[in-house]
Amino acid sequence: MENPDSKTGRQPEILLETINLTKRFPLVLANDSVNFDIRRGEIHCLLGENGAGKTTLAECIYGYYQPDGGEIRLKSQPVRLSSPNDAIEIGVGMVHQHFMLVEPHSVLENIILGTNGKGILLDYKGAEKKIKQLCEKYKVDLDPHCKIWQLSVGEQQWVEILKALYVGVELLILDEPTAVLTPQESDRLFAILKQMKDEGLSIIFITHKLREVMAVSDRVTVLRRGVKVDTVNTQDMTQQELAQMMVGREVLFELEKEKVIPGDIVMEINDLHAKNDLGQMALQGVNLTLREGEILGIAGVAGNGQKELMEVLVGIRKAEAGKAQILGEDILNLSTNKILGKGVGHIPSDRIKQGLVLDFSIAENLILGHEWEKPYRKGLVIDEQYMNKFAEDSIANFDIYTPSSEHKAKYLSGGNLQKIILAREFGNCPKVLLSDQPCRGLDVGVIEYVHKELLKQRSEGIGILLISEDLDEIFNITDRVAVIFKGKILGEFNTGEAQRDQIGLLMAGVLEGS
Amino acid sequence: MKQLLKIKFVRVSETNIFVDIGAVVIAIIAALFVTGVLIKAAGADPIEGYVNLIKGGFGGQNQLSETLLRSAPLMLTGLATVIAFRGEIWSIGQEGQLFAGAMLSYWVLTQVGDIPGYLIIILVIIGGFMGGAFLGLIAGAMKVYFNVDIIISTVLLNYIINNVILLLLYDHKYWMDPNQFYPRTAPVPEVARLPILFEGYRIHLGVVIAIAAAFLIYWILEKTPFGFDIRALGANKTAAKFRGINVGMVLIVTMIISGGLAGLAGAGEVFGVHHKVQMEISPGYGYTGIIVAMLADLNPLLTIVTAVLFGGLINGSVKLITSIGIPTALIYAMQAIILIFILSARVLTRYRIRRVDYAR
Repeated sequence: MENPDSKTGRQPEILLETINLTKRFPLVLANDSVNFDIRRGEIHCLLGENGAGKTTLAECIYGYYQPDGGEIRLKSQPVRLSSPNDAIEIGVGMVHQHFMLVEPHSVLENIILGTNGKGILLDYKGAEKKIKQLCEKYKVDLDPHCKIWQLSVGEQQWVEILKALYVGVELLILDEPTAVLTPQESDRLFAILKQMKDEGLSIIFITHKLREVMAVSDRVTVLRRGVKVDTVNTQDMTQQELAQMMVGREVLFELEKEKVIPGDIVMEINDLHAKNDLGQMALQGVNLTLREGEILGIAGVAGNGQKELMEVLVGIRKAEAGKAQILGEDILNLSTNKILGKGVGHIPSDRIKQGLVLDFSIAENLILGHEWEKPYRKGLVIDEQYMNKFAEDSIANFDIYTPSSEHKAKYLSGGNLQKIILAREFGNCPKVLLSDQPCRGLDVGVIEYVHKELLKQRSEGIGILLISEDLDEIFNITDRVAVIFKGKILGEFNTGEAQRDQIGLLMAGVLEGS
Repeated sequence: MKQLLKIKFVRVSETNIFVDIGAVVIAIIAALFVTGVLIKAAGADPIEGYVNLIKGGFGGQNQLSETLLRSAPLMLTGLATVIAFRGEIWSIGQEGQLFAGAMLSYWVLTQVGDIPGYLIIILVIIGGFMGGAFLGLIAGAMKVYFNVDIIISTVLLNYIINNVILLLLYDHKYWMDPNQFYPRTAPVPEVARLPILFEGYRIHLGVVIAIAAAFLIYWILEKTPFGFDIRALGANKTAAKFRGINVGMVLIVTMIISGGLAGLAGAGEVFGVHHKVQMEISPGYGYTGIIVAMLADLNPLLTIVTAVLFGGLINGSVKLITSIGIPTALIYAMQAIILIFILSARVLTRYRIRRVDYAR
């Protein structure tokens, strides 16, 4: 399927390739004789579900892992990479899914961290100039003196990319870069990546999102359970075909939605105001109503108050003004414990940091937050018998893949971790479910599962608030959609009657007629 | 390309118990070897020294009794460390809390008047707990309400308590025994002393209390919802908050319990061993308790074992010093060397060394 470059007719130059690359971990064969190549000046997607071996392959190329077999060639010459330093030396840079930035330090300090200065002193002035030039070139607005913690996730990612560009890499690896970005931010990233490609940079783009593969890549290599399925030209493929290659079966993109007539109001928010961590007003008069048996979507670009809204509703953040009622009771500025006790389920946006204790067993995670409540507690102690029974049931009902309920959560994949949270929240019969990007970073199969579960809860009469940055998700499962921008709700629609462009424009703050 | 090392450390997720025990044994042998070099350098025979060390610590009934006597305060300060550190609350105020417990228990004694002996004993034990707990409460509340770092507040409280006790002991106006030239209180009456367990030995009720406390802390941490909350706080504070756990309350209550345990050690020393308040009631039990807890991997039951080992080490070292004539400083060096080796061993058992098989 690999054709010579159509424009020049010549065989394109291969920058880096892996020959029969094999990498074993104690229990899995993460990469099994993978042959992969990246040309100069192309964007090459690595596509596969979680655990398919995409990241492992990339980490081998980046020198973080050493392959157990096969070899890596740079410009036809075999190379040995014993650490990421070696990789950087030969011009390979990587932006990880979890950023490796020093939060209290500035952008500038983070970028020159580990690079060489003049003698023993760091060349701040020169570095600042170079960073400003790079930002100008790619039209990115970033103050080199800003501290990392003050930046949005999208901006932090740009700092990571700058770190690689600053040392002058030829091959840039991005591991699921859009997992933390909004549609708009993603589009901007794609534009910048294409500009880099046109300047001769090669880019490996790891993803499990088909839309992105179609939008950004020249070629795509599909991995499944450590084995390469194929490498194909993106333009020859459809999303359906790619999905089938990736999962090994047909995937349903649209779910059947049962007709549910919304019931009584379960949550009402009036004129809600709250500040963000920097003390600025992040919510400026939010009004929302949620009824039994409906899913209300909150669409918006990250950083427009979604985080603050969720934190106020679960009692982590103080509200400055306004009113919020759940089942007719005021919940504003109550403790988290009291709010959750009123029949509120919560799926936080960051399941690892906010939702789970990774060092706890699955069983313990399933009762986290309910450990004082009956029937989980018997007298002075936690009822271990009941806890284990609840865990066994949850594992069976939610199809959590684990050897036992005593297994620590940290050994599970992202999809299975999210299932623990679903099992915990649904297992306690909520009336209202607050879910913040429940499908972030999950693969197609699991997303399908989560959506089905949310729809099932909706059929049972639960009111669900769904914050999402993914418009596909909003259009697939919500009944109504409200668009949030700079802490205000700019518009509210019945999802069936809403237009995609209209929502997209509102997310960018563009009001009709203005 | 740089190619310095052809080996690589690979992290393993779980180690088995035999590897752990083996590593600790090897670490202790290695630590004794290194200390042996130091003893040799000081011009003495290390083998003879170690034989005396073991004899002094565990060589007979009297030695065992003395070792257990010493291990009681170490167990309690160790447990104080365990419960706080499991919640990632880095309290190092055990020394101050120990003295606070000693002081409050003694003050209770001065207030009780003429009541039966067993009541006095119950009251001074409660007093000891409350004294340490009060300091823990202060540090915990300062953290929750003013975000003062626990390490800083507990260290400073140690200094404050140290000076308060100096003030009380050096002035006849306060607690200094009018019949004494030395800074110490008058002896506590016979009836108020902790009962001796075996006739003829010094080992007292405090040892039983300390061992019972270890089981109680184990039960709290592993079985109760409150212990669940402490462990959740230690493992992921953000998630604890998001799940509705009252993190501030858990922190304060944990500090109260932690302080109280250290305070019990102080009361035990005053009413079980020294029978008076003086600076000598603790040769740094509060700090050694941290070592004891770390060596036990913050496991309350293992703390019993490590406390007894350290009690024996302290006891035996007296014999070690006197028998072969080496400086006392070497004993402290030995304790520290053992700690470093065991902690290193524990880290290293989590890794496997592998030759790197480069792609070729």
